[in-house]
Amino acid sequence: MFEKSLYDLIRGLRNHKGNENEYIQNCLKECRAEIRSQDMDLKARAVLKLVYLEMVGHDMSWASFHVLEVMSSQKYHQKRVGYLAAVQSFRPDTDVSMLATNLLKKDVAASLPTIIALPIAALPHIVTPSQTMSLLGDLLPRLGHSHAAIRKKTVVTLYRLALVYPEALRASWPKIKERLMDPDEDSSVTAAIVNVVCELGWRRPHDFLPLAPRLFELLVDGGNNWMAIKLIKLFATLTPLEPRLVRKLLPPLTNLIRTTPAMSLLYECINGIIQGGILGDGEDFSAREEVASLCVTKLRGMVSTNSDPNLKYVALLAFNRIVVTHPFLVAQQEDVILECIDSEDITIRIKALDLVQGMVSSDNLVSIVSRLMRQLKASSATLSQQENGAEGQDPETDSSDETSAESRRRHKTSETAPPLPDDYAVDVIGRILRMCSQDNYTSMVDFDWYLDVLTQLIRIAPTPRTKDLGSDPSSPKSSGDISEKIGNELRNVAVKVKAIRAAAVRAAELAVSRMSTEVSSTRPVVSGALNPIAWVVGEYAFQLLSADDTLRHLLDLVPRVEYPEGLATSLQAVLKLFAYVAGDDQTLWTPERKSSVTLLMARVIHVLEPLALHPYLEVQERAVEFIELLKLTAEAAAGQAPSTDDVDQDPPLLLTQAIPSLFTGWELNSVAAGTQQNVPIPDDLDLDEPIHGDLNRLLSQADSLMLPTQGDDEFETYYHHKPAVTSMSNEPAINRLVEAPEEVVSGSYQQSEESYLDPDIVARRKAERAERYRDDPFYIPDATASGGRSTPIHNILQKENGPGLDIDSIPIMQLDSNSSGRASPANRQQQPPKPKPHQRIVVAADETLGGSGLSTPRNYDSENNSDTLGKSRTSKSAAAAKKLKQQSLLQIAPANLSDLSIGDTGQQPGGGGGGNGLAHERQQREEAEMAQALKEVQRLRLEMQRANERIQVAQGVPVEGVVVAKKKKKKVKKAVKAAEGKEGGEGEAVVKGKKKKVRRLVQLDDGEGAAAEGS
Amino acid sequence: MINAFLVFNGQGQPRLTKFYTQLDTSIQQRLISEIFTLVSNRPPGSCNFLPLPPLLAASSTTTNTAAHEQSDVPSLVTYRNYATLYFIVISTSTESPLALIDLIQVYVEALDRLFENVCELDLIFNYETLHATLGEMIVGGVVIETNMERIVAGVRAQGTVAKRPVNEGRAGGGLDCRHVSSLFAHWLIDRPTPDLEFPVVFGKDTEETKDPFPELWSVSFSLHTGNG
Repeated sequence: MFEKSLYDLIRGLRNHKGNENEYIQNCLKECRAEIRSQDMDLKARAVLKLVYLEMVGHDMSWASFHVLEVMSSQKYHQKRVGYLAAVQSFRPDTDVSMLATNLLKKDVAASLPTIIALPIAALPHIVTPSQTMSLLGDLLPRLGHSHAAIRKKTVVTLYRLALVYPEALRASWPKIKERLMDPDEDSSVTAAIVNVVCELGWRRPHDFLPLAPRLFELLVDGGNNWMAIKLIKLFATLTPLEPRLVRKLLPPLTNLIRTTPAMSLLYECINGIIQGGILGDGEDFSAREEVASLCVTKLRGMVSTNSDPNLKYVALLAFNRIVVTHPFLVAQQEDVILECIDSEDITIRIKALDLVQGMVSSDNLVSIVSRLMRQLKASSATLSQQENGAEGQDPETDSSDETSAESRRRHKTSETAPPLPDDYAVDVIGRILRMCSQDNYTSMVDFDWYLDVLTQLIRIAPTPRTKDLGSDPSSPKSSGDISEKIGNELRNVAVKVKAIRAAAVRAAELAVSRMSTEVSSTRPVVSGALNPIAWVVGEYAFQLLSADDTLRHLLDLVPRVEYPEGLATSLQAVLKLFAYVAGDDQTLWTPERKSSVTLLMARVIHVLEPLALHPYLEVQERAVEFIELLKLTAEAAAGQAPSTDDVDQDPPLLLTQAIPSLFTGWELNSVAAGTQQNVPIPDDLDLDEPIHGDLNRLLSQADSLMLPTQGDDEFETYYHHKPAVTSMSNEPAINRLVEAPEEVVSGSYQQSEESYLDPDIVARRKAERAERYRDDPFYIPDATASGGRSTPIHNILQKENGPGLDIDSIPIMQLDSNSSGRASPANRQQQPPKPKPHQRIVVAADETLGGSGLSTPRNYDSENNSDTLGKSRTSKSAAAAKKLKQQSLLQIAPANLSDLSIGDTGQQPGGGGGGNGLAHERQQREEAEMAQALKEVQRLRLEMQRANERIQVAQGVPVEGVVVAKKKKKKVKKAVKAAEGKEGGEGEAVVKGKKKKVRRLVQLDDGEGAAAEGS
Repeated sequence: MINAFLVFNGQGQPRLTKFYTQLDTSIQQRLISEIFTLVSNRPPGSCNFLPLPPLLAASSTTTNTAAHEQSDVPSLVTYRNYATLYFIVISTSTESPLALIDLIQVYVEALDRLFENVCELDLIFNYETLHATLGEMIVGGVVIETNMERIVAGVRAQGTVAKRPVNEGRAGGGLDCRHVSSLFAHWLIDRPTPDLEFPVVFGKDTEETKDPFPELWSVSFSLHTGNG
């Protein structure tokens, strides 16, 4: 038999391209055999191979016991393999690590430094709290080892032990401190201690204040840059506690900033000044001013266009910290920061966005959002190109070795996981929405513009991937959410801003028609935006340009909607629209009307019918309801003879009265999130009670009712207000006061707008503007667009004249008003644009219920706020529990290190001292007790086993049964009880007695186990 | 602290994984593949920092309320690319981003010394040495040494470093034989060590902002000649 070495394994992998997986499975099988061998060499080799395969993703937790065996080998090179395997493969649930304690103790106490280093380096990875204390006694002397390499590793290991078991720090800190204070200590050991102190520093800054002089000395004397950086970081956490440090630190820091050749150190100096709160506040104003300007100019230099991207990134990080305390300093840098939004590097973009989000005001909102929109548009354009172009192209991996299954899997994950552009787009869209809707739209100046942005966003929002939704529950914000969020915004604007409702409704209408026409008729509609949009169209049907068309589009969409929520809303909207379209009670029941209504009903019923069996209950219920209702109406309509020239016939009342009355009533206002829950349930509400005993009779009664006849005049006026006009003229006058944004923003604004809005949106916008100003003497319309309905002629003009000439930016308006001498409007024009038009747009606040108290205006806000509110409300302990629960991946579980004080007895802040020296002893005492108890348990267990054996011998029960029972420790009690009952019935008194004893023992055993775990 | 140190090649095949916290193998693999997706989509000339991969982002956004907690959450992913290899460091915000870039450089240079013109093949076949070298620099997520000499000496003390097998390059297709150092050799000529080890000199008037190789900043901006 030829055994493979790791070398052979890797070679084999490289030679088995294409069927690596099979090869690996074979290797794993061999390893399983080899690892059981008595030959230590073979065993170690197998472990090493497994470690290698673990790196590639093959679990080796099953081999942990063998790893332990290899660790205990006498030969160094085997031991090293064992320790490596332990570090790489032991997990919190690896129970054999408990068995390693003695081995670790032995190796820590070994004479060879190379052997000592092995357990010391491995401990941070594998140590458990219960091991910590028993190992501490062996580790502490290693701080005095003659090799500096051992000393520095020990320091770090002690720190990691303290993270799992804070008491360890109490025992080790005096020794570590001694090392730190020793000026003759090896510089690399000092550096390692500084690293550790820095890590501890932010957890418990108070305890390290007394060290400040020594640390300062180290900073000034200089060692290496890494240590200097750590020291500066440490001081940044100390200065808030000891303001006097600031004066001491400032000279060396400014000196460093001016002189250091290392960019990393320079940056950290600036960062330290920021984080330490050295900027700004305080008595020595001029000096600080100087520092602040020094830092900010340096940072500005880093951010500016031509600098190194890494510097850009870190400078943005620094700005993100400054903005919390000194927003004005950052605001001065707005220009360079905004440039970073357009950086091609996504990391930098995101950081810049973080920053920008806090800087939004009504002045810069439009320009910021425009930048973002342009990016989104561009990326969505390239994305669609890529999709068309590179579909069939298989990214062939010329892997050097490893499994092809591996690479295949990787490809699959990169396909299913949302690729970065989408992720980023979702993020950006979310930010746009948040920026715009901040504080109930305070920064929003021009809602028309916002609607255009939303319309555009709906088009370019990344389409959600349905498979992601199911497979990846961990990512809370899927792309499906984002298009729904956009739709929600549109709905919010429609509900909240009455002045702009008509335009919002038309935007929704446009979106619906686009969805139904542009998406191919076979593909399912997945956009979450449909849900809110359908609601808007249905609710404000009377403001639609053409309700008929919208209804038709919606009916086209319904069979293809994928999300049941969206489907349910769409159904509701369909019936609302139908009620509006067909339920006109003023028009005569002419033959044409009769046939068209009948056709329409047939169409609606046809669409709804398949949905009556929909698995989603809400859809099913609505579909069934509406189908029945419409069938009833269809009957009524068929029964009603059309009016002829002689006889005027009214349309059936079911059509004109009953159905519309389902949807009219109070106007719906926006309600603050969470308020709904505050509505008390009426006491007399009985959900089981039928709504009405005899609905049919009621309906037939309604049929026979007579309506008062309408006058002809009303008839006429009604006709003049037919939809097309309504939307325009219904707009309150206030809306006309809203000047177009050209006056608020610079002239180039229009031009930029075209770069991110689709041409048709721009054209529509232009047309609307022209329409609005047609009768405005102060507005000179495009000569070419005399019809009011302009085409994108503007674009053409602009293109021909070149970008330098912007017609709209020529201040014609002011000239005109001055020369004509009309006083009032002219004055208004000349006023500085202080009274922002947006102040006149009324944005309805959310409704809250009295007593609900804190209500948050918007969904997104409420997400954020509820977090902070929750935080502030919950008690400290709850927060701590939360912290544990939310613990992040890769984060080490911090035992409550911050609650532990390690200072010397003299400088201990507050109580908690008591017996800090005692803890260690107490621990040892407890340990002894524990050992005693364990021994006792062992003894009892043996006794129990013997007793069992005796019973079995007596009864002839096969031994295996007992083994099984023993394995399921927790169930034993129950099993025994059952056995007891059975045997009691059989009347074997002796056995019963024995069993009872067994139960008692088992209980004892469990108790001890829990105690051991608990400590 | 440093949460993880990873090395993988241009195809995303791991060459070294070291997590300083215990983590399930499957999650490790997921994290690696997420980071690889991020890293392989970087446009040229972008910075050496990655946005947080979804796995980490999900966990960190929930805890970003208290500044205290923030220092404990992995929030920084630094990477460097040498020839066919990517070197990744995942760390908390208590580490200095720029210094981490240098730290990776120190690691690679140390490997270069140990293997004399290191290339990916060396790393594939001597993967114990990779771990040993890393162990001389980082213990339990805390950096213990940045001095090249000491690192190299520490590794050599543990035994001889094997040489790469002869003729192995042909079997592998040659891509992974590209010397890692060949990519950075040209800027190392005048700058033997990263500046982590340079003494901090006060009052010395150097031309502070003038970097002799400004165009190389994007890869290694802080390796300076100006030794005091």
